Amino acid sequence: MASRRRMLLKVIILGDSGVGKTSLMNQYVNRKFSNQYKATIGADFLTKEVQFDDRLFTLQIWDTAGQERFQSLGVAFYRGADCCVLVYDVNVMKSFDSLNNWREEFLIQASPPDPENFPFVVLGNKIDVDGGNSRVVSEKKAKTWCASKGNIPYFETSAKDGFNVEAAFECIAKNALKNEPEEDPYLPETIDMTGGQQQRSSGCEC
Amino acid sequence: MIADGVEDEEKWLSAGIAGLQQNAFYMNRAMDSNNLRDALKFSAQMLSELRTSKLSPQKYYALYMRAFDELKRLELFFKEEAQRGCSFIDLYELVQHAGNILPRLYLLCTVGSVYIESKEAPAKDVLKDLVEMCRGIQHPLRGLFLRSYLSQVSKDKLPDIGSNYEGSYTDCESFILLADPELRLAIGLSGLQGPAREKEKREKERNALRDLVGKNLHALSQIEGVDLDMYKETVLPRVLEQVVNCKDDLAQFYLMDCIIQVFPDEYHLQTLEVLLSACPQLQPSVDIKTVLSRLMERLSNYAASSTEVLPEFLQVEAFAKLNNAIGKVIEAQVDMPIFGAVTLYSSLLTFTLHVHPDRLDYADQVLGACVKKLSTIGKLDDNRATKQIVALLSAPLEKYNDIVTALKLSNYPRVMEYLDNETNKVMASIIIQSVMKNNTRISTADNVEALFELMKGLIKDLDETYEEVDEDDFKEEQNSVARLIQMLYNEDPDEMFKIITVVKTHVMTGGPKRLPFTVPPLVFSTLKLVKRLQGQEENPFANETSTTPKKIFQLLNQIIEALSSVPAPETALRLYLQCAEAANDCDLEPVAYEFFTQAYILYEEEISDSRAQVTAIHLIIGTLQRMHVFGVENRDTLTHKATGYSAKLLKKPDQCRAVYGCAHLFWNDDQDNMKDGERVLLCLKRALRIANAAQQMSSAARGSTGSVTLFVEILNKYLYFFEKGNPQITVAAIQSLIELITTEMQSDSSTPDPAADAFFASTVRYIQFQKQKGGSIGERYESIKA
Amino acid sequence: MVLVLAIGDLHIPHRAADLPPKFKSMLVPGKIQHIICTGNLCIKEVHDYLKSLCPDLHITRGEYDEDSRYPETKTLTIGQFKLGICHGHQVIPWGDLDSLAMLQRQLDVDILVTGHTHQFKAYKHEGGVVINPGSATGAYSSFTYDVNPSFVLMDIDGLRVVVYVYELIDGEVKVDKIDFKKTATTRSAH
Repeated sequence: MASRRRMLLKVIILGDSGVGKTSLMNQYVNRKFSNQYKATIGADFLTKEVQFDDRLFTLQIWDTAGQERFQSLGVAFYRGADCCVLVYDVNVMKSFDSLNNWREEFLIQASPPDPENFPFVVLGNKIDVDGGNSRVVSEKKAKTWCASKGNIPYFETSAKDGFNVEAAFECIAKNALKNEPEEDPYLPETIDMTGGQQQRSSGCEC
Repeated sequence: MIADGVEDEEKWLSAGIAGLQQNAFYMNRAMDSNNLRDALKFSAQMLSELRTSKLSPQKYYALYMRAFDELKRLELFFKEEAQRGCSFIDLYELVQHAGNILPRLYLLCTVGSVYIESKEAPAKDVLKDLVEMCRGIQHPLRGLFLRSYLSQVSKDKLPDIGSNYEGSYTDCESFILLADPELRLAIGLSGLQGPAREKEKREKERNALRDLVGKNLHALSQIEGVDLDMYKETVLPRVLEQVVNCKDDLAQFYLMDCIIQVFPDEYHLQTLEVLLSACPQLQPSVDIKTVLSRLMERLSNYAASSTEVLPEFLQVEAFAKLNNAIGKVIEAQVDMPIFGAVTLYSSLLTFTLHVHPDRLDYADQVLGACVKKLSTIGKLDDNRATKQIVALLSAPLEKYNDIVTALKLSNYPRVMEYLDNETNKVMASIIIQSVMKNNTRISTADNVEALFELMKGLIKDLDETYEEVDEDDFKEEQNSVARLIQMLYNEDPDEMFKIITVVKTHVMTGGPKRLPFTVPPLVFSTLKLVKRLQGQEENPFANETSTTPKKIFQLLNQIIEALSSVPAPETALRLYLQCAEAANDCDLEPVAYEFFTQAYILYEEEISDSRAQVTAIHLIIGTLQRMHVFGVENRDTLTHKATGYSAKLLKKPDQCRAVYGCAHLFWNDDQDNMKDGERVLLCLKRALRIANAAQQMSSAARGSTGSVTLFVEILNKYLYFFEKGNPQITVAAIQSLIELITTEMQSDSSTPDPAADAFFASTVRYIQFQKQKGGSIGERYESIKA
Repeated sequence: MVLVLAIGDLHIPHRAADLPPKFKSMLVPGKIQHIICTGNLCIKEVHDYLKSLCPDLHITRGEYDEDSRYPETKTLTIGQFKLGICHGHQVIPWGDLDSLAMLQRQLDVDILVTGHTHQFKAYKHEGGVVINPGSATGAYSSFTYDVNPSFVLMDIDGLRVVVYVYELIDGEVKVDKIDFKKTATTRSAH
């Protein structure tokens, strides 16, 4: 049977505060959108079943706090990610400028085995705002950046209208699937069939 | 408790991970062979690693995340088991066999989430059961993580409007709110244990753990059933009650921040009073200014997002409420550092600028309140507060992009008064940058006066003490003042004259260091005004007060005179000459003569550097050549002097060039009465004598004659006047000059000079060129042999 | 093909605050191979700005320049053309073409670029060219009532030079083109 590990695909969404990470996830998973801005605290995920080539996968999508002060426990949840989604707001230059930091931070903290080829996907969100009149980051500029970072797939999305969201996540899932699973190089030193291990934990007996 | 060293901690984490991985390996193997019992056994052993007390929250989180990933697989396995016919009751039973309570509860939560998903039992019953059981863990760190796990696995299974699981807010309320007080207690209490020396470390840990608490509020905000009414009536009052009751400053600060961030702006606006009324009830040590600043920042962004939302703000009188709340906080917290108060005013100002861009009175009111607070402490020496004031004063500039609007704020300059000299200058520079960036024209004398009052830090020394300033910085800053002077403009000459008078008054106080930077732009700005008047007909109805060129020239004289105190004779000379030309254009002979006189005095008395003299002479001759206003007498005096200066330059070649330049003073193509061929020739002959003398000097000093360049130059001047039809310039004279040059060039004693050769060659080519032209010019040149 | 920017008499900050924004947006780094500047910048900030547009910068001294190290005249060769630069306050009468022609013969150049009058001029003269790029900021001058900001771009290609004049008239940039060819009769030995 297919290993259970391969049935679960872990995706991390990163980007500045307010670019629409939660909204993108909600639009994709629940097909819901709210104009109200609510900050995310810590990291949390939603799951969605996806089917590829007659196989069913569970997409575990991690939404994260864009504000550093709500990431107090650190980023241990990056570990084992199969794909990282970088989101910016096409109407806010700073959020685009931050992509580089988010990408580098992810590679340092998640330390995937093959950082050169780790799958990223970039989403330029909020293209609906003001009919596109307030946008400050051009598609060309974004694509140039993506090309320079090893041809990262790029999508322009609107979490509000749902525009391109499905297509983007399909690409995200496919790329996650392509990623070589990060197997813990664990080999038990002694195969103890009895399984009786010593408890080394020293916590109180609760 | 927790191991002392970071290294030890790493060791414990590695050991925990190793144990976890080993058991996970067996668990997975058991799952692959569908062995439920073994899978449960090893999963329980795996989860035992989470019983450790040796790790800091962040390290514990790393371990927890690994367990979490494994539990996800176990969850899938449970689902498969259920499909194979294993009932949830049985699963529930089975996991109870785990020996320790913590692993048992993790397993129960995992089964529970699958159970709810199966809808075999009502979600709320299962959740309630799990919440109750989780209360069994009293250890803050382990307890918080366990609850976080429960919250995470059940998050998408909460009974909510529109969700798959029946129920309403009141059901899940019990889930979230039941957990909350305990958690806050936990976060609060953990700070009270242990010796004082570990306080810092404990605070760090509590800060790390806080997100586990905040996540509950986040989950609450995500529930659709929590609409505005429910938020207003139930959620907010209860949450605030708990926040106030927990009496822990760190927790209160964090939770207030969370409430503001996780709930939408619309809710905050509609509940402002309730939210703000909680502030005075918090512990005095809570950093309330940051809480309020962040609230205002959020609301400002909301206001900026769309004009459609602005009526909401007006309807609830948001400004009045915030203004009131801030006033109370500042009044109540007497110990609040000035930095805090200024931060609050700064946030409030940004808020009102966004929400009420048309209400300048609101903005001024905020600045006024700030002045009142500042007046209680005098000049600022707190670096952070100063920075905040700069932010405060920059906000109106950024919003209006127009200093003229900011100048209407009566309290603006009063706030600036409290800045130290250095920051006062920084602020003045920011104001100038704003004017430049927005290309703002300042067009009334009153506004100019107000503006210069704001910028006085750049205009003059603010106190007696000598400050050490970087020369480059000083230059840059004074150049920016010079640029600003270009932005002061009014179409109306009278108002413009007033503006210039105001600027003059301020600039004159600048002292010798600043005048060289500020006088030239002021002079040129004034000359532009002269030029505008010059184009106008004399107004027969002009009265005493109207602006006339004469009046302006008097002012110009005073302005340039100020440079004598610097002293800056070279600049002053240039400016006098510019004025002379302007007076010439206005047909004001005496005025033009006076300016020339001033320039000559400076030349004679102040300019001694030989290179500076050469440039000055060029400018004097060049200007004088363009003057048409002078009568014969004045003109003779001035040209005579100029020729005299020329002949007295230090270097012979400079003398020679200046003297042949003077030839142009006696010949003006456009004026027939200005064609004195004889004196032109005298100048050229004199130049030739000097060139000869130069040659001889060179021969005596170096043993070889110098370059023939000067002779070629003079030849060109002969040709120039020959061509213009000066009867004194004869073909014979030109011919002998050509011969002289040829002889010199062939002489053994001459120094080879390819540049002079080329110059001569191109001059000869020019003669040929003119010959070929034909017509009157060609005829004139016909007889010259070259 | 080589692009040469000829610019001068900016008189910043004595007579103008800055270059017109429209000019600034046209002058971008990387497009110009040489800058020749006739002088009167007047301050270091302007020098640094020009340097940022193109590092190959040639400046002569205007009478208001803060930096006294700029030379009075300068010559350089670009492609087939020899160019001479001088501010022009040294050449009396100011702006007089025949007098400038003498300087052109003295420097032995194909193209002479001078300033000082703040009036754009380009003459073909005795087979050579005399150019005055005007004042890039439209700085005050006693020569004319109104000074339109202007600068010159020279496109030097083989024996041909196309002079583009950019002039800001009533807020609009007008471009004029003047074509010069170096003929066989011109001096050839440099």
